Amino acid sequence: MTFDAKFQRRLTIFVFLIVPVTMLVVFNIYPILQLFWISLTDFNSINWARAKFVGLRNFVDLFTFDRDLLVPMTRSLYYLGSSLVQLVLATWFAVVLNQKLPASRLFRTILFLPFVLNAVAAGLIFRYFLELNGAANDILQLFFGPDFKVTWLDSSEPYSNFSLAAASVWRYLGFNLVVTFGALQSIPQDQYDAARLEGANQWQMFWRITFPTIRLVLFLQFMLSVVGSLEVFEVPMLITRGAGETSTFAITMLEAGFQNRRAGTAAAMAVFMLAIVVIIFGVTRLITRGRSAVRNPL
Amino acid sequence: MNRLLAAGVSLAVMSLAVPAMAQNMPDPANVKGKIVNYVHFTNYIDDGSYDRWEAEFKAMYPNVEDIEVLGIADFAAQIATRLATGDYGDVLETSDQVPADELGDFFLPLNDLGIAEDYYFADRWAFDGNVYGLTFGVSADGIVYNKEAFKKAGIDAVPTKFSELKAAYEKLKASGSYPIVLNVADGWPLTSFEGLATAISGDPNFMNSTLEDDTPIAADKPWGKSIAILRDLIGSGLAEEDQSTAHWQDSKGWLASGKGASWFLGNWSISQIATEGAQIAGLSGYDANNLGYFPLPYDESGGPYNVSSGPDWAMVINKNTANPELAKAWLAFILTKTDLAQKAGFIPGYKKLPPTLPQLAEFQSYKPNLIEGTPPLPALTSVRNASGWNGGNAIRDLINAPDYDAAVADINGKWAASAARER
Repeated sequence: MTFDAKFQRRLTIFVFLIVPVTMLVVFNIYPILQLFWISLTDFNSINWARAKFVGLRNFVDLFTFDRDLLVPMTRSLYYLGSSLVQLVLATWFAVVLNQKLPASRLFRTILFLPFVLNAVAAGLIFRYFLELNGAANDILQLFFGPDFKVTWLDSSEPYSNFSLAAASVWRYLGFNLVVTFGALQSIPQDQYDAARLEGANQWQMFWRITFPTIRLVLFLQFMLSVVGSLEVFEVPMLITRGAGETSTFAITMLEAGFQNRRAGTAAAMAVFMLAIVVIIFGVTRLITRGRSAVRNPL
Repeated sequence: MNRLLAAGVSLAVMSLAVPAMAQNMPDPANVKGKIVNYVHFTNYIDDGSYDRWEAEFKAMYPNVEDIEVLGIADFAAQIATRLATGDYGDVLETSDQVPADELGDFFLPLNDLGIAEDYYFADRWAFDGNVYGLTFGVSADGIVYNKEAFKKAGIDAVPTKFSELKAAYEKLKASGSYPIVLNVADGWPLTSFEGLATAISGDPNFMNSTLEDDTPIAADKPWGKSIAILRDLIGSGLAEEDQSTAHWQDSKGWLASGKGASWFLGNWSISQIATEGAQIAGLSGYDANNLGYFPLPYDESGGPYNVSSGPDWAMVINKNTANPELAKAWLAFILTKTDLAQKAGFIPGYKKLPPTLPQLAEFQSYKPNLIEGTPPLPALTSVRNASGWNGGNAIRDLINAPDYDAAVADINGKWAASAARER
């Protein structure tokens, strides 16, 4: 029995897709559906047999009885602010490295390395660096004397979030750098040559040529940062265990689900966060609809 | 109510070591097959104790194929996940993961073993007349201290009033040690201050009584007084320097070496300092008698002080085990015929085994009044979970709150709302 070409092509596509799609459904889609279902029950995270359907009560509670569980979302603002700084820095590095300076490849690798590092390793590095008797204070003591100690991390003070946000910037800067650098490659060099002939300086070249071209890429990265700052988890968890003022929404969600055995409430929090992310991406699509990510420069 | 310690210590003095064969051990002919036992005593797997006990057990029950003892380091977190999936071995351990009314959904009743009558806290993991779990041992919360560090600071008598305790701590601070290692950043070590609230109240049913209280942590209530002591110690700079990054493992070494002079935990922690702590601090041949143990003086009365005592982890059997006879025989063997509880420094849960921890004799000399807390009602567990005021992490976050009084008001408010919902 022979198959015609069209059928063979369809069969090939199907066979190649069956494994990844199955994995997507089993490990991604099914758990998400289960999450929606759990958010409608009072599951205590251990005994599924006794979980009762409670409808939208968990969601209503989240804005009334459990209002305090939403408070840690304000900490995300620290991470969002630092993401803006991160983006600016990454763009600056990308533009500088785009100048074809010697060893620019080496610098790109060095800046990208923290992103490749295992998240736990990166978190622990910063913990040992920022703790009271850690490396940061040791270095400062070389200059300011043996008793000089700055409390970089203090779970009772909101400013600790800046230290944690700095750890986050160190880690993710490389990612923004690589993406922006890639976008910069699409700008033809003759644009800059023409501008230089007409007497433009570096800043004017950036503002008039580079920036308009990569504007959409930067906007997309900003939206990713917004989502990332809502979901921030491993940096505060590894460094201060999410204690006191360094707690975040994701950490509170895990505490509610596993420590306080309120899996229904935790699932409702997760669905709430998912809704926010969907809205953010919806807004992003609206703004970028119809435009390509890198505008045709001519 | 010293009978717990007095009975235990006098048994030790009288060297009563052989437990009576009053319990109903399963018939050796029925005990066969293999089981899996999940434990949190990873140190006793590493040092071969479990292998030794397995060999002894197999000598008693020749038809046994194998007992697989698997250690889990982060037991509390992992066992909860395992319970939800149904994959939790044959014999395992539990503390407070399962509310009392749901114990029968997960575990096998142990009534026919006949040991519950000779057991401390047998009613802690019981429901509807069935006993589901039996604890390894009993711990009382007190101040564990490094005698050398105290001597170096010029403290010659154990403090018997709170003001004396603070004065002693000031001397320790001046001599360069951390007076009390609270391990604030880890969170869970602060759970001792929950027990302190029960001790201050003097009421074994204190925790259950907070269900009726709309302002449980107000300043004049036992909870409020316990937290006030904690805040006083931290506010006076008498705790460890770094309270924002977790140092539990290091802190064992501090207590061993004297860099940390004391901490407020149970007698289970003493053997951990003497073994793991000494190893971490790089001290070989550590003399455990360098560690002492006295009740926390929480006011100016001079004693005798109330001390909260409670059970440690309990051994339980999976309801769906394929080999219930073997599982029950192994559980009874470990709890009544081995020295596991004594090695770990508990007062063994099985009353016929004497405690061997030498520091308990010192503790007893201060004539503490032991309060054995009553089992928590399912409603209490529910309200604790819903309000979030649930153990050491909640205490840690309260301590770290920028506006303490506002945070107390918030917690009281949520507690009252959760209790109202529960009714």
